[in-house]
Amino acid sequence: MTPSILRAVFLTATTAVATIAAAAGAVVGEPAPGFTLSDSAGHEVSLGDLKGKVVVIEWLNPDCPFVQRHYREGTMKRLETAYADRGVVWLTVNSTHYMDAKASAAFAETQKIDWPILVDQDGAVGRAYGAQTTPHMFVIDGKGTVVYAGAIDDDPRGSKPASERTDYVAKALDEVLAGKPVATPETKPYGCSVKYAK
Amino acid sequence: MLPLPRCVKRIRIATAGLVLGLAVSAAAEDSHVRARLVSDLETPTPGATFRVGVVLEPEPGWHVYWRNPGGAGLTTEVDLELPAGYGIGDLEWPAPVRFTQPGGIIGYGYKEPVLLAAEVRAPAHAGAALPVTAKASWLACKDVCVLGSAELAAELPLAGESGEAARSAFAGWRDRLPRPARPGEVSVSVTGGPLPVSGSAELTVWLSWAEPPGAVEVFPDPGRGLKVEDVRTRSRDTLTRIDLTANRLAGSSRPASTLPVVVVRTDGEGRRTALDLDIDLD
Repeated sequence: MTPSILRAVFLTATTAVATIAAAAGAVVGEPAPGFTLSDSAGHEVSLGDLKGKVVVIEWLNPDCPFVQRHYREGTMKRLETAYADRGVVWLTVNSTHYMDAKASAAFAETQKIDWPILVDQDGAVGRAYGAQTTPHMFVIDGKGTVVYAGAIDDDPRGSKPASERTDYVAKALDEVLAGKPVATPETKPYGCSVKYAK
Repeated sequence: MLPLPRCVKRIRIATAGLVLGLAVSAAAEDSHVRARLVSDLETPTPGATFRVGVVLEPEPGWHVYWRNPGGAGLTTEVDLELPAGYGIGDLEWPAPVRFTQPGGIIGYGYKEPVLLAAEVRAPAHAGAALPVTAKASWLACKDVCVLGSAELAAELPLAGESGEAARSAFAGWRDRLPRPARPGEVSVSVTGGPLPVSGSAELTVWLSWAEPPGAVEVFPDPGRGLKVEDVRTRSRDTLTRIDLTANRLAGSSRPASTLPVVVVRTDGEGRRTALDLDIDLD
């Protein structure tokens, strides 16, 4: 039996700690946090301008081995190309604190990425979304609601054959575009921790 | 000396290579982590139980991850292969440490050398020598992260100095593994919630100890359909309070009804005791 006297002695308030988890973050079922960021070429992109479109947001760090594997295997490119044909907008956000617009531009050039890499060097948008890993994926429907948050697939080690792998983002996009509810709206993302400033 | 026939020469070289290969590849280094294959097997005995594992030693400043890596990272994997007939138990995880990565992203893992090993049972017909391979793979991070792996092989029992070193790796190993709570050692209750079948709630877990526990750390190990965040732990006298946000993720086939946690007490001398506890979510 828990001593209720000792319990009462505990303060109910806890010290506030500025953590990603404690921040509101992007919550499935709620409006996606708005933002305006410049891409690596200096053009401004505002999430608010994309209302009516299904949007994918991908958290990127070119120095992270998980990201490197996916770009080697063409995962993001394949998805972006396939779903752009169906009107989906793909945004990549780089919240790596030591990478500026030039660094992201260099990555875009090497990888031949023709969609925006948004520069979030101070990590403000990453924190607003609760981005924890690279990659960390979010899917937003035409009404601006977060309908998926989490891992790109269920294969952190890249060891599963494609037939055994669940591609969570692709599935969520198929469901949203078909007007169906997303069956798996949230998964635990995998990857390196987002390299925010210390 | 008469020149050897070519076929004999090839066999001798191949055998030498095999022996050297096994000896050399019991240890390896990759991506800022040294890995070596160890075992406490001394005398092969039919039906006996012994242990086989891998010691991972991150370079100073680097860490590898626990079974639940936390908010980011990658579960360390060790796959052991023994000949047919040997029963290999689950990999055992020594109590980890907690670290906070920039942005407040929590990680659980190991900065010090860690032995990840499993119990093995020898079959009734066990032979004298036992070839073992271990494949370890990990994510090592400091300011950046690097994937690493090692494929190790050895013939057990390990002889001579390396045998002694290998067996000494197991000294104190069992003490670092979580164990079930003894009767009366601690009682667990949960307030807050209710936690919906799909959705989140703030829960408070109360641990009532028979004796003051010293410093208490909590390491949640939720299954796939459960997310646990924002774990805050405080102790006073014989009571520990753990506040956390639990989230049963929609779309999972079987909503989790318990949250396994590892609770670590550290006494005044810095000795850690790790317990396996199950937190009821309903």
